[in-house]
Amino acid sequence: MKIKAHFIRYASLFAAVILSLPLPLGILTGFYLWLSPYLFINSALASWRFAAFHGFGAAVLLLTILYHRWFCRFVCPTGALCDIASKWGSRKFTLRRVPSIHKHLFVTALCMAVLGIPLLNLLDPINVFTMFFDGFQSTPFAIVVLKLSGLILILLFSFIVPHCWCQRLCPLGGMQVLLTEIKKAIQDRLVSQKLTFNSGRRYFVASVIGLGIGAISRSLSAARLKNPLRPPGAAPESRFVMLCARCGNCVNVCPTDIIYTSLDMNDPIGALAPSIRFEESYCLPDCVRCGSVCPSGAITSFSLEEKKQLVIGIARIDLKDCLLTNNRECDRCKAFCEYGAIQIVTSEDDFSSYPEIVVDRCVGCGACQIVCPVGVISVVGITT
Amino acid sequence: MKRRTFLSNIVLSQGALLSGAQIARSSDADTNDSPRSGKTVMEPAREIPVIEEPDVLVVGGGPAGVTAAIAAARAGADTLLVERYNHLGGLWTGGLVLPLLSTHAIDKDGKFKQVIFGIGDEMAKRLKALDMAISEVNPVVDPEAAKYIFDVMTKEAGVKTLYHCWVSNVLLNDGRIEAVVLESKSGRVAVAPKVVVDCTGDGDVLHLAGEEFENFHYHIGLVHRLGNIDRIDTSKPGYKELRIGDPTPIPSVNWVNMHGKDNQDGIDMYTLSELQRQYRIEIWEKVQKIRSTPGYESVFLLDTASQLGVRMSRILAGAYRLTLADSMTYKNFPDAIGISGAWTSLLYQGRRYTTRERPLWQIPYRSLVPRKTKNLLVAGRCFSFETKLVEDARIIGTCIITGQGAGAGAAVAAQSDSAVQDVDVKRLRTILKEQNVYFG
Repeated sequence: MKIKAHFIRYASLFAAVILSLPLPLGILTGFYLWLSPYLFINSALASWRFAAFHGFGAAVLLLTILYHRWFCRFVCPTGALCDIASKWGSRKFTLRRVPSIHKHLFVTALCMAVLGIPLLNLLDPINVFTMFFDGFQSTPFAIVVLKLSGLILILLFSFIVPHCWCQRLCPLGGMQVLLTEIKKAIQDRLVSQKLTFNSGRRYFVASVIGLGIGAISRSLSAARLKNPLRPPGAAPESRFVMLCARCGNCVNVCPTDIIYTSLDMNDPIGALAPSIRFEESYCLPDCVRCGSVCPSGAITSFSLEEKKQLVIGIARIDLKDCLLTNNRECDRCKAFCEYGAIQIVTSEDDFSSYPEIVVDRCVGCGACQIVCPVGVISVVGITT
Repeated sequence: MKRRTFLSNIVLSQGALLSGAQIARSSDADTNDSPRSGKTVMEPAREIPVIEEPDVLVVGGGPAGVTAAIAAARAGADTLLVERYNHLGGLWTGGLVLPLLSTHAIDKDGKFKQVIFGIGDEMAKRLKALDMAISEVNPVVDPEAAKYIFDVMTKEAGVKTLYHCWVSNVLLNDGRIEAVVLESKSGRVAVAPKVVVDCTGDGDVLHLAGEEFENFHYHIGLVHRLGNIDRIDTSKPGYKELRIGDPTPIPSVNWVNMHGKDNQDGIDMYTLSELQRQYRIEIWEKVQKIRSTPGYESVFLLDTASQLGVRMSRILAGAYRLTLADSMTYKNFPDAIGISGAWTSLLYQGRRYTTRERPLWQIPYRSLVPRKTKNLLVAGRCFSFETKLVEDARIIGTCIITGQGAGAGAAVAAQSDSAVQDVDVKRLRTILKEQNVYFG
């Protein structure tokens, strides 16, 4: 039985690595994240938005109630790596020195999620694993370091104090332990009418911390002035930065590489969240990939039909240097707008023609911005 | 000879064709032939003198037509060029669209280089020698100098030119154009060429010959020129910078482009007349506004273009329809007659290509060849291409390349008595190479 468990675990690790490699996996990009019940609970509480793939997380959650920590034993790729690190690790420190905070971390996360802030998604071992591999595909260096550091730290912990991550720190593990304890408490209550569940002060503190951080983050994110460009289908900015797991799925799956991992010192709350930039390419009207791979619901999955209504930003034209406005032969922005959002208007004042954005139609796809020969068009975020 | 006997019977066929033409026209998608009053009149059949029997008749003396006529004449064909206005150069000169666009593009190694050679390059060089062309890439020329150079070049090549005449009909027999009917100050006359090259821009001949086409509605403008640009007094109180167009080889003169109204029918006489009047009024009033601005008092309206800037109208449905994909992927055609370049940016397969990233592209002979008529070739903006390619296909550089290909092709067809569809492409390409056309 033990050999078999190991076998399944390493097979799972192998599969997770394969699925994390920069291969054209389409909808399977970052598939392991969909299995995370932790991410599922967080997103469900934070946004009340569900994608079809959330079914996986829900199923795993149900099975977790039935079989204690089966997910850790058989599926979790980070757990498998931690085990390897623990085996090679030092014997100097033992688990007893590490406080068991995983359940409390989970409670904190849960409280934050209730306030719509699942920022502790970052501690989800599967997300940490996905981010590690995403790190290799990222630029610049700061983002690479941040993305790689999660898994490296976890493995370092496990090396110094064997099994400390899985047994003591991992909130996903904590969630499973807590669920089992609750289950046991309910069973005991039913069987022997005894209350065995220790609600304790620690959970109260954890909840307060969670609610506190949640409230502060909410006010911070609401206070931000600037609205960066986010992928189509992104939740409203204040929720988006909080929902997003920073897994990098959307960045990796974007066919035109317009989605990138942002790291702006002026915007710490949005750090590592996907932003959009239009340099060589634009948001293709026949693509729904970013929405289909988002495991957290930060980007809702959308159809091609729905995409026509999803606004990234709005194009602005600086007419001063616009070729057409200066009587030169150009209509590139109008010619390549697939939403009919640019029309050429003739000014009665000086009889010159100039391009004008039809606000209702513009979704901020960026086609006009990149095709403009003189670079006078830019898509800007919409302030709500 | 069959051709001769046919020509003597020209009266008869003219009458027969007229009734036939009326039936065809009533079912035609063209709106410009449909009577607005609801009334029609019957034109009686009449005898028309055949004034010329050249090897090659080039209809339209724009960039494509001038080049086609010179190419055909240099290839040894007896060539007649007919032009409706009083000058050669078409929109390039009379239309005051002064830049020879699409002279450059990048090759497979990513090197940005000149691709328009042959007669087009010769034109540019001769204008530069007169100091009447500015800029190496996409040179801007002086229209009067260009008119002069085109007259000199056609004369040198031995092209016979007829100004002030307009094609009004085409007489077909057995899939061939036996005669082209012209309206002129000398009345209605016919030309019976071996091969016709349609360089009308509007595809008038291909339309009359019953070839299939698409009438592409695009924006139509009217270009004008401003004089005394060098006398603008920037030190005058109240002076502000105004948009007064772009420089020409003559320092005191600017040319001012006009985008004009979108989605216009370039072959509808009412549309053309309305736009002509509206634009001329607009331009005059605009220039008066400029003149009333401090510092601009001496600026004046030098001229409005003698022809409207009809950017697109009919597009031939030819033996091959050149695609945007062909132009973006270095597509090799065994029957390529030349290479054109690009002059603006575009998006292709989700990616931006700036002007300097655009590949050069080959133009196959088949895109100049109609599907039915055996002795008609088409050059200029009405040759066969998909509308996505319009920006680079309608431009002067491309017109020149297609013109040279069609002119030489017509000469080969006339000399070998073969249908244009069966022209020996190898021989054609040899002639074009001798005429310095660039093939990559």
